[in-house]
Amino acid sequence: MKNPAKRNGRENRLWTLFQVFFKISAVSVGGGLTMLPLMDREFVEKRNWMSESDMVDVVAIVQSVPGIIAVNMAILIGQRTAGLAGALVASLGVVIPPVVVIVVIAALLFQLSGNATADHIFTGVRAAVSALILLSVIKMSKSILKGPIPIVIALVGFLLLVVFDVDAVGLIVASAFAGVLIAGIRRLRKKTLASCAEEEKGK
Amino acid sequence: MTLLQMYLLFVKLGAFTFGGGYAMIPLFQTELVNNYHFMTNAQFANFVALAQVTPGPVGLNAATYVGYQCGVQNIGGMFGGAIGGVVGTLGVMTPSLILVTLIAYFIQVFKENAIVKAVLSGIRPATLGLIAAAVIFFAETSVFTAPLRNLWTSGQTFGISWQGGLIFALVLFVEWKWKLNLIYVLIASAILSYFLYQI
Repeated sequence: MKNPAKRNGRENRLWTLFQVFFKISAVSVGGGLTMLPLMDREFVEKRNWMSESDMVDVVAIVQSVPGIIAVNMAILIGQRTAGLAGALVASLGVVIPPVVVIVVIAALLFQLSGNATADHIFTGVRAAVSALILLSVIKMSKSILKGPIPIVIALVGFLLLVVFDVDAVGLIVASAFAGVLIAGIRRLRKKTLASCAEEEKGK
Repeated sequence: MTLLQMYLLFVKLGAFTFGGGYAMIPLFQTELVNNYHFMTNAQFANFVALAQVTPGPVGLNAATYVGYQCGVQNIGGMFGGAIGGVVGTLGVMTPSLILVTLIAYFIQVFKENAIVKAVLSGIRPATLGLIAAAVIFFAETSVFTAPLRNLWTSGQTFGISWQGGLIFALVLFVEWKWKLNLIYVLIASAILSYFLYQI
C-alpha cells in the first residue's frame, strides 16, 4: 500500500459504519424512517461525513425504490460515505440485530397461536396495531393525496384489496403503469394546448 | 418448499415492497398465508404485532422468521433454522442491494428522471391504499367480529367486539394526542387486553 495512513482511515471508517448501523438498528424498533433522526445526528452533525442536502437525497431515494427502507438507507449511506464496501458493511450492521432476535424468538416460541390467554392478549394488541396503522395512513395521506388522481388510485387500490382480494403485486405493477399513462396524457394535452395557442397567435 | 424457492419468494417480495413498513402487510399476507400456507391469517397478524416490539423492520423480521421455519423443515434443528433465517433475510435484501447500489452511482439522473417520477406518482397513492387495507386486515381479527372480505357470500354477520373497539379507540386517542413511544403503547394494550378479555 502506498499510503498506510489512508488505508487505515478507510478501515476505521468501515468499522465505524458497521458499529453505528448495528447500534441504531438494535435500538430502533419498527425500523424505517424512525432511524432517520439518529442517522442524521451520527453522520451529518457528529462526523460531518455527509451534508444535510445529501441526507435529503437519501430520504427521497429510499422511499422511491423497492425494498426495506432501513436496509435501503444503510446501503445508500454506506455507499456515499465509503463506497461499495461501505454499503455492504452498513447493511450487514443493520440486519444482524433483528436477525439474531427473530432467530431466538423462533427457536423459543414455535407457536404463534393456540394458547387461550395468549390469543386474547394478541387480539387486543392487533386492535392497537390497527389504530397505529390508521394514524400513519392519516399522516401520509396529507403529503400523498394531492388532487383527484392520487385519491382515485388510493381508493381503487384499497377497495380492490379489501373487497375483491386482488394480488398486491399486481396492484403495484398496475399503479406504476397508471402513473406513466397519466403523465403521458398530461404531456400530450400540454403539447396540444401549446400548439392551439400558437395557432391563435397566427390568426 | 426448498431453501432456494423460499429465497426466490423473498427476492420477489423485496422487489415489490414500496414505502416500507405497513405497506408490505397485504403483499406478505398474500404470499405467506394464501399462496404458501406458512402460517394462518391470525398467526401472521400475531407475528406482525410481535415484530413491532422487536428491533428491525417488519418485512425483514418476517423474512427471518419464515426462513427459520423453512430451514427447520429442510435441514432440521436450530442450526438449520438459523441458516434458513439468514437465507430468507438475504432474499428480501437482494433487490435493494442491486438497485440501491446502482442508483447511488447515478443519483442525479435518477432524481430528475421523468419516467421514474411518473411511475412513482402511480405507486405512491397505491401504497397508501395498501396501508389502509392493512388497517382492515388487523381490525378484521380484533375490532370486527367477521372478516369484511366476501362478507355477503360467507353469511356471517358484521359486528364490533367491545374489547377490541375500546382498545382501538383508546390507542387512536392517546397516540393522536401525545405521540407516545409505540413499545409502551403496545405493552400497555397487551396488559389491558389480558384483563378486558376476562370480563
